[in-house]
Amino acid sequence: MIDRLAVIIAGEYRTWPKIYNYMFSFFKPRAHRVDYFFVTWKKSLDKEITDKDVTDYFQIENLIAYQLVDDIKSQHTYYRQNFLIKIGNLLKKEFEFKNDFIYDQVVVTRPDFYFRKSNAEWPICNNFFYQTEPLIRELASSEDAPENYYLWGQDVYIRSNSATDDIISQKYFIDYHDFSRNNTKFVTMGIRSSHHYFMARFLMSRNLLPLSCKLAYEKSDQPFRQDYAFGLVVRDYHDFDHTVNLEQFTVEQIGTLLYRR
Amino acid sequence: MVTLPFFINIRMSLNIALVSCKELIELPKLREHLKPNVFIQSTFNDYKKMFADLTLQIEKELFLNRVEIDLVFFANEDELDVERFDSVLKNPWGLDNSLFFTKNIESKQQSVLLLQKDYINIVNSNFFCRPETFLYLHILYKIPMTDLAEKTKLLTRVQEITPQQMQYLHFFHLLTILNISIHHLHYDR
Repeated sequence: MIDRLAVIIAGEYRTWPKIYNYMFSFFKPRAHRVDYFFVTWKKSLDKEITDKDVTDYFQIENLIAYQLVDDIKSQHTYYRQNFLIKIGNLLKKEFEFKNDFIYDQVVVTRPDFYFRKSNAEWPICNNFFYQTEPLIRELASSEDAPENYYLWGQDVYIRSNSATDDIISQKYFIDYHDFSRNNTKFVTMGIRSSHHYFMARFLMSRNLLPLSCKLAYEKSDQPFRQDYAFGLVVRDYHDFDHTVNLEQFTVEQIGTLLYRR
Repeated sequence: MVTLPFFINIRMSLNIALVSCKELIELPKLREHLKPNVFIQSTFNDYKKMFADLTLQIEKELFLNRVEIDLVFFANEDELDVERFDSVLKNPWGLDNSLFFTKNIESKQQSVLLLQKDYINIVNSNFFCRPETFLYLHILYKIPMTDLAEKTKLLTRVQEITPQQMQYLHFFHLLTILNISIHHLHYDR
């Protein structure tokens, strides 16, 4: 079991009140101590977010630090999301430095992500390894040809150790023009606007490796396991009765209830 | 040593953060010349804590105070011959996130082993780089030198060096693993 786990929840506030309980119960059994850092914009869905909108939900959990952030100029999803993640990382680093310790593992996720637990063991990520859904190739056009695929990395959940998290959080600094410069085909296909593509490119550019690589190398008979059975982004337009316990539904049922990522 | 047009050029093009680990005699002069947007010092003697502290301070300026910083200049010696950096500072547009600039040291042994003077001296010199590159130095205190050395297959060599040399190698390995090139500036351009 992990000794000290930091969970950085960074992103637009959105449906946090609908999913927070699931998130807490998801992380609780995974570590002896779970610390939370919460970073969100001061406004979400035209509503002002107040301190109470954050603190009220953490009455029995360890909320170490939180930040309500003024808007930034960029409207690009990649930069907006990673600006908040960067601040979450800063809060975590400052807490570590002041208290002279280092978290064993760090998860970065967002306030609108619903997890379904699994019993799978979490393999520990060491330096330069991370755990998330595997990078995949995504079709960028209607024509299913090899050259029309691009690299795709998800943006809702990533686990690593603390040093690797410090590297990953640097993805805010990606030079949009630099990444698209060398692939004009992707630019014309519109992929340069895909934050999933940027995510995958950054991880590769800094020599970071998905844990699935290590497992495949060391125990090739073991399939890749992700940290959760499945996960769903709960959007504001998913107008379901949030007093209903989502855990009672099967994957298929919940897929009809919510948009399936 | 430093000409006026040179500094006018810097001020027109770059937002500079000047960081230092100690009180250099010529630091006031450097501040006067560079006119940095941000000036930060750390009081830690241990190099790991010093970089952790400096990077946290820079990051707060960037993300909490939203100060624009194009370049971080790390002053670590009184030899303030900043004209060595002239070519990049005057025309900084090739300074991307995968480059780290330090002065050229007059050793001809740099390609023989990583333990030679060129690399050993890296941290002991003034250097500059983009903010992203500088912020990576935060994790020097989280990843032990031996872990980095093992990854770059230099463990046996590392065991033969002094603690001080270890410090400089630590720095070098980290940049190497992250695909960050160390660029040695030449005196005459």
